[in-house]
Formats: sequence, C-alpha cells, structure tokens
Amino acid sequence: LALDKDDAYGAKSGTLWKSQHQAFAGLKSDGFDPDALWRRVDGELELLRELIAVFEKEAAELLARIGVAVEQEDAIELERSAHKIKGSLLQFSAGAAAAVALRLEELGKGRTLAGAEEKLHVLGHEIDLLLQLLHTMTRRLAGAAPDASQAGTGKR
Amino acid sequence: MATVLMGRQTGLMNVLLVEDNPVDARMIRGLLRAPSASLRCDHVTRLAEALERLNMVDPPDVVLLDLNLDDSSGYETFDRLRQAAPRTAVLVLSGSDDEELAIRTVREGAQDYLVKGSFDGRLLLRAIRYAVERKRSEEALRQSETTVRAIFENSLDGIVIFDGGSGICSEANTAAADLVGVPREELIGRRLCDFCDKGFGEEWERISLLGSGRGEFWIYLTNGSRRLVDYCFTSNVLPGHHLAMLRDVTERQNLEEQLRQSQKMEAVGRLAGGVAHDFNNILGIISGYAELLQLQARHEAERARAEKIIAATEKASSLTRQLLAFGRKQVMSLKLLDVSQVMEGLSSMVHCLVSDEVQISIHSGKQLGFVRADQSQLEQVILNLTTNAREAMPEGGTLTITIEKHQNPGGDPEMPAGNYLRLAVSDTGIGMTPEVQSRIFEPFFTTKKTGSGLGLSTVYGIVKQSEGYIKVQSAPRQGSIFSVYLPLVAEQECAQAPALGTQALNLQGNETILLVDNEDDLRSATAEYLEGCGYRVLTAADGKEAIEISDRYDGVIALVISDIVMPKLNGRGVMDHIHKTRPEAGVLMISGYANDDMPRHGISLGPSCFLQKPFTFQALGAKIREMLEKSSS
Repeated sequence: LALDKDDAYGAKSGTLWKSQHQAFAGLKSDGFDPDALWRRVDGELELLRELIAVFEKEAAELLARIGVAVEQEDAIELERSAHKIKGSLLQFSAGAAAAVALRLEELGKGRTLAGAEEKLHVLGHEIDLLLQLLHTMTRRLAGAAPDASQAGTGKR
Repeated sequence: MATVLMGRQTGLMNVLLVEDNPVDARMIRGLLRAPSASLRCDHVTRLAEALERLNMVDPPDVVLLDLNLDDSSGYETFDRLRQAAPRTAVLVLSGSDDEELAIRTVREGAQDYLVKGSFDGRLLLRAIRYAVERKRSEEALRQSETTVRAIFENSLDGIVIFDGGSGICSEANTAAADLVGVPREELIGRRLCDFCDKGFGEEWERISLLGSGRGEFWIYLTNGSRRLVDYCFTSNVLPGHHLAMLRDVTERQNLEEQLRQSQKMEAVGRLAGGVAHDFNNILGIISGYAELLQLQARHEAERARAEKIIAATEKASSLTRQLLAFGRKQVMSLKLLDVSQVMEGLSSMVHCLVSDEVQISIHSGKQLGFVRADQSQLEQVILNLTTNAREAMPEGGTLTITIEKHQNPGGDPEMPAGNYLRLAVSDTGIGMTPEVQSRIFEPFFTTKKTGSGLGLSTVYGIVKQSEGYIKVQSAPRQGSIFSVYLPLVAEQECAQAPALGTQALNLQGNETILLVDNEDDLRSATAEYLEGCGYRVLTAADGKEAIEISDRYDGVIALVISDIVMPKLNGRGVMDHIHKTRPEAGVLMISGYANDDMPRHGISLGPSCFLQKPFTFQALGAKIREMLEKSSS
C-alpha cells in the first residue's frame, strides 16, 4: 500500500498494516482496488460488511430491473438502473464492473439497446466476481486483525 | 449580524442526505458517524421528502444531494432544492463525472460537486465543513449587501459612485438625484461635474489625486436655482470607482447668512444709535439757543434767522430719528392702528410720489384687525417702500400695495407662528441680485447715485421695533416684493384700548425745578428758557451734585428733570434719591436715546415721564405743565 505517513489511519494503525497488506494480496487488479476501498471505509470492517450485504441485495434487484428493461427495450429504466448500480460499484472501487455499468447507462441514455443484453451478462459476471473478492477480503481482514470485532472502531 | 450567523455554529451540524441508492446511503452515513464529526445525519430517498424537511423548524445546515432520484433527476433536482432553500448549503454527490453538470451546479449555488467513489470520509467531512462555512460567508455577504443597499437607498444624503476616469456616475441614490434635480436614471450615465459650477472640475481632480477629502460646491438646477452641497469624497471604494457623499446645506448656509446679517445689523444699529445720541445732544443745544434767540429777538430779521437755525436743526433731527429708527431707539407712540385706514390717508401722497409712467394698484381689505404701531412710523414705512419701488421702475411699471391678513402656521425659522397683517409693496422693476438683497437693509447702502441709503434701513428698524418682520422676494428683471408682517392684536385687547387725546397746556409756571444735565450748554439754555417761563430753576452738572443741592434746599422741589447717562451718578441714582427724600416731587427723564433706555438703566417710569432729545422748549414746557398739573390734581 502506498500510504502517506501523515495519513491518520496509517499512523494510528501502523502495526496492522503489514498483515492487512497480506490480506489484500492477490485481490487487487485493474478492475478492483481493495486498498482504495479500505481507505474509503476508513478501515471500518463492520461498515464494509454492512455495505457488502446491502450491495448483494441491491445488485440483485438492479440486475433484475436492468434485465427487464433490456427485454422490454425500456431505455429510460436501463439508464436509471445502470446509473444506480454504477454508483455502488464506484463506492467499492470496482472499476471494471463500473465501466460496464457506465456503458449500459450510456446505451440507455442514447436510447439504443444494441449490445445491452451482452453487456448485462458481462456486468452480472463482474459483480459475481467482485462479491467473491469482497467476501475474501473481509474474511482475511477479520483473520488479520488481533481482535476482529475491534478491527474498525478500535482504530479511531 | 455576525452573532446571528454564528449562532448555529454551536452544537451538532445537521446534515440531510438525499440518496436513493442504499449502498451509497449506507456508505455516507457510515463515513459521517465518527464522533469527531459532530454531525447529525438524516436520510431521505426522495426529493419531496427533502423539501419537507427543509421547511421544518430546524432545517439542515447542509444537504448532500444525489441528483438522480426516483422523483427527480439531473440538474432539475438541484434547481428545485435550491429554490426551496436558497440559504442552505448544498453539496452535490453524483455518480456521473460530468464536468459540465458540475460547473453548472456550482455556478448556480452548489457549494461543491463530488463524484461517488472519489472521496473518503475525511474528504467528505472537509467538503461538508467548507460548504457550510462558504454558505455562511455568502449569507453574511448577502446580508451585508442588503444592509448597504438599504442604507444607500434610504439615505437622506446623496450617494454617488462614479468612474474614476470618466467621472460618469455608475450608481446614484434617489437623494442624489433629488439634489441635482433630475430623475435617478438620468443622473446615472452623466458626470456629477455637469451639474456643478465650472470651476469645481479642477478642485474635483485635485481631490481625486489626494484619495479623499471634503468641501463644498454649488449645484445648478435646471430651474435656475442653485444648491450648496457639502461633499465627502473617497477614491477607489471599488476598483477604479470613487464614492461621493452629498449633503444639501443650502438651508443651513442661508440661516448662517441670516444670523451674520442680523448680527451685523444689530452692531450697525448700536453704532447708529450711539452716534444719534451724541448728535441729539448737540442739536439740543443749537435748537435751544436758537429758540432763546427767537424769544428774545428785538427785530423781525433776528427772529427769521433764529427760525432758519431751528428749521435746520429740525431737518438734522429728522435724520437722527431715522438713524434711531434703524437702531430701534426711536421714541414710539404706540397705538392700535387699522393699517387699511392709515393706507387710505396716505393714498394721495403715494400717488404724488410716483411718476405718471407707474400704475398704482392698492388692494386693501376691510376690518382686517389692528396692529400696535406708531402711526407716523407706519406711514414712513409705506412711503419709504413706495419710494424704493418707484426708484426700481425708472421706465415705468406697476406698483402694487396689498394689505391682507396672514396666518403663519409655523415652521418658518424667521417668523413665529401667529396671525399677522401683511403689508406688501411690489414693483415690476429692475429687481435685485441675491448679493444686493443681502445688503439692502444696511444703513448707507445704496445702489442709487443720489440715495442716502437710509430709506430701507429705517423701514427695517421700524418693523423690528414694532415687533414685526420683513421679507424680500426679488430677482434681476423680475421686480421685487417687500412684505411687512405686523402681529395682529387680539380682539379683546382692541376693545380695551383707551382713547388717546391731546390737551392744550399753559406753559407758564412758578414752581421750583431741579435740572440735571452734564451737557453744560444745553443745561444753561434749558434753565434760561424755564426761568423765562417763570420757574425757579436749580441746576446740577451730574447726579451727585443734584443730590447735594436737593438735600441742601429747604423749599419744595416740584419737578426734577434729569438726564439718564451722566458721570459720577446717573439718572437712576438721582431718581431713587428724590423718590426717597422728596416723594412728592415728580421726575422727568431726558435722553438722547429712546425711552427703552430707561429700563436698561433700571428706571421704572412710564413713557409719560420721558422726553427724548432733541426736544423743543415748547415741547419741554408742555411736558412740564402736563406733569405738574397731573400731580397737583
């Protein structure tokens, strides 16, 4: 992790960084940045878990709505739902999945649904992959912390 | 104002999150829940709910707004919220990294535009705090601008902001427009110097270089009038723009000028009165001896010569009376007068005074009421004003004399409220400049080659002595109106007025009179005359000698005739001593001043016990008999 020494979180939790760095090993790719996500949630494991839970439910609903919109050629609904899921993906620093969602949003905005079904398929796949990575990440973080229950709040 | 704005800085900051995406909402609420954040975050998912919250008693300090909601999307979401709560800070959170939309929302009032996924907790908290502070600063500025605008619009002083280079007004309030006499829209776009006296341009430039200054200049109105303006100048209140505060001080200057004029007139009056007093004593000696010469003349030629001297002293005496009238020291014989009747009696004389080229128009109402004045003085006022009007119309015109009631409701600094009789003499002549008007009542001031300069000053003195007021309206080539205002006497007072009459008296007597006067020649002549009338006369050169004589004298002194102003002991001292030691003796005061000189010297005698110098021996003889007959009866 490229951390600023002045970073409040890093300064307070320097003893944990080494093991957390190990926790993120193999998770980082062009499409997902676990370091950025961890910083964004301010090292709050519980918050991250809650977000993932909300996202799992929300993503399923939004993918379903996008599927219906594509099927019914409802460009407006496609644009709205794709935009919404894109926002969530950006919060998880899931760049690859967010890019696919953006393409779907643009299709909706351009009122042309050509290729939307294929992109929906790709998006579903990316989200599945993301959820796997997120769960792995939370498992590792829970194991890396001396006291998993205090992993987030204890740092503040 | 600052206190009001800072009041809400205490306690928790209220944040309203408007977000329909559960992940985003959970993330943001999670980031804001840190204890150090000191925030209370409420969350709604629809714009309609947000608008309701904004109308509550405790509205949020800041709104975190997602633009794409179920009931609104895009810029419209921001626009509706901003209109509903223009004074609340708004921070836009968007999933679209749309620069154009970001610029638009910030330009229209959003405090910031954050793209989801691009900020962490610290960045968000900082953005929220900055947003609130910026909004508070904007609000403070807005309130300050509102206050300044209110001051600008409602100021009774003129305020002008103008371009430093061209001098053209870019802002002007209503007071400034009123001052220069044009509509506000017309003043904006013009130079203030366009309305000023020409010489002021250079002065204005000099002050511009100094950066600030104050002074006065004249503004010339399109109706021909002008106003004196007190200004305060400050340069570069805005870049390249100067400020001028303008105050109309015309009335103040007029009042100051009136005060100066009044003080000058008072001073000149005192001087004139003093000169007249000395002159009267001299005239008294001349006329006294002339009368003695006349009485003792053995030939008609001698009597005629004495007559000429007496006639000359009477002319000279007339001049001193005019001076005394101006100095308000002339003896007045106050009566209740119907001015219309006085005018009627003077009508033929007025017609004789003016030439055939002048038309005369007299408008005189009936039963206008009475004024308390000296008839001969009032006649002199009318004749002097008529003469003045005639002189103003060398090529003819119209002379109008108006006598009417005038009710002054008050508000005139020169004349108290009340009922007056207005005597106005107007002409259609050459008129006067303001400079001439300011000097017309000064004695010896004249615009004519042959004038004495005493006509209008006499009028002024008489009017003031009669507790009246005089006003002049005039402009070059537009004639003049002289208005004399005399207080009307209340009706019940008129009903109580005693009838005045005269009674012929025998001037001979044999009583003893003590004559006190420090003017040796006048005392000698007077004593000689009184002895000629049969009186026994004791003489004293001053008050002290008079007391000594009185105390030594065993017989009855019927009357003491005493000058007022004397060395060693004045007339008051003589009178007090005589009243104490010889209460049966009468006291007649004589003076070169008017009878109002008696109260000034603490003498409490009625006007019937006073004779003003110069007097004829005939008048003195009559006065003595009148007093002696009165005391014996």
